[in-house]
Amino acid sequence: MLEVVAGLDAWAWLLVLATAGLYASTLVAAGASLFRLVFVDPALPGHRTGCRATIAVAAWLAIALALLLAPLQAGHLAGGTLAGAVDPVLLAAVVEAGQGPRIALLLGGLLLLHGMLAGPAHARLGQAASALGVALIVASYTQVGHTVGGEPRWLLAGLLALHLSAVAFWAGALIQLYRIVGDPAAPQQAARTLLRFGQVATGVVAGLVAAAAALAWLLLGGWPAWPPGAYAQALGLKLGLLLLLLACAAANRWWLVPAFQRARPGAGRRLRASIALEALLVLGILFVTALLTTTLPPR
Amino acid sequence: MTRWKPIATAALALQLLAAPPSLLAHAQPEGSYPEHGAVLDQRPARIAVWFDHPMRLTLFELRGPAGVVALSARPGATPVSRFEAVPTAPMPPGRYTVRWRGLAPDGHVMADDFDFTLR
Repeated sequence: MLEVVAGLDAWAWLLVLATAGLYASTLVAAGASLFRLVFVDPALPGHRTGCRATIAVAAWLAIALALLLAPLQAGHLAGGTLAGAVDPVLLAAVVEAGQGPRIALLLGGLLLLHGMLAGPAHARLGQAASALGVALIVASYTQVGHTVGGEPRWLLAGLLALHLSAVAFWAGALIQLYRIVGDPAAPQQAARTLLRFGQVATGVVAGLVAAAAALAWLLLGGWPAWPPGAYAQALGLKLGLLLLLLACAAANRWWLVPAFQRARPGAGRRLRASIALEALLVLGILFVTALLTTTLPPR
Repeated sequence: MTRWKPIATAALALQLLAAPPSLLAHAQPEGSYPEHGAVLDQRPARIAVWFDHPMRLTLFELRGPAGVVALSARPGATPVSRFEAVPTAPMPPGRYTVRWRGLAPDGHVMADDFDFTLR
């Protein structure tokens, strides 16, 4: 894998980084909107403001990256050239291959997320717009990739949408939980939010696991043979990051969260560090996923 | 949160782990001529790559010790399961790399290269 990665040209790196950034920013923007809909305590304006800032920054970053995606892909298809990035034939090919509807849905969804920034007078309308925005963002990811060619299409797309909603829920929650745990003015509210998050996570976890199993079964009829070479190494790296993520969660479960609830000295700082590490690991996983989807053929 | 955080993280892990099957569902290169790493005594009569699903190739380039080698055909707009071209320029001994790019039917950008050596 290192040989393949070392052989990537600058354009391929740009595409990988933009793709990973797009994954991360859309998931965070959608997830923060879900978090604000469900968890943010109206009595804590600071948390609400922080959530809004996350949505705005992540959504505009995602919009910028989404607009760059088609030219970057066209340039990559031409062998990493600027001429390819503005070649109308290649741009049309990228758009026709599914990126057009995907980007349109994504941009529409990201703009609708800004409904969450509406003032109290239009709060309900804003929430509805934001929920629709999350749905459009999730739908955008069903326009390209494995659910496109498979059957039954509606079921595959639905399962993928369920997956992505759950991932967004989690990715967006990490940032908000990090912020809430670090708020020294409201430890009780932090504990209450953590508890509510755990309760909602029950249904999310159940749906997520069921959808993951069903998707794998429908697409493959079982697990595939392990592919050799650089691709397998990248998958191994991804698995390693996942194991670290699980180890981090285990540390939270048995040491850090109980310590935080008992208000042990430094517990909040350590829990925040752990949540930050989880977020970094998720970013790492998204980066490897972008590497897999843009550069490494599965041979 | 206390009880469910590790479970939710494990679920996220499962979700992210579910990505590899999706990647394996992409159109994949099934083979090439010459094979990757081949050592040839004569210049190849053709350069070819084939896939398990039609791929819209956008770049197919042969590069050797003297730079880019001219080929008899260029990729077109129609997706193909197999693409081949004949080198039309001199090929001095050395290492050659074939670089290709393409769009898979599911919309993903595909890229790969393969090498061979001409003695």
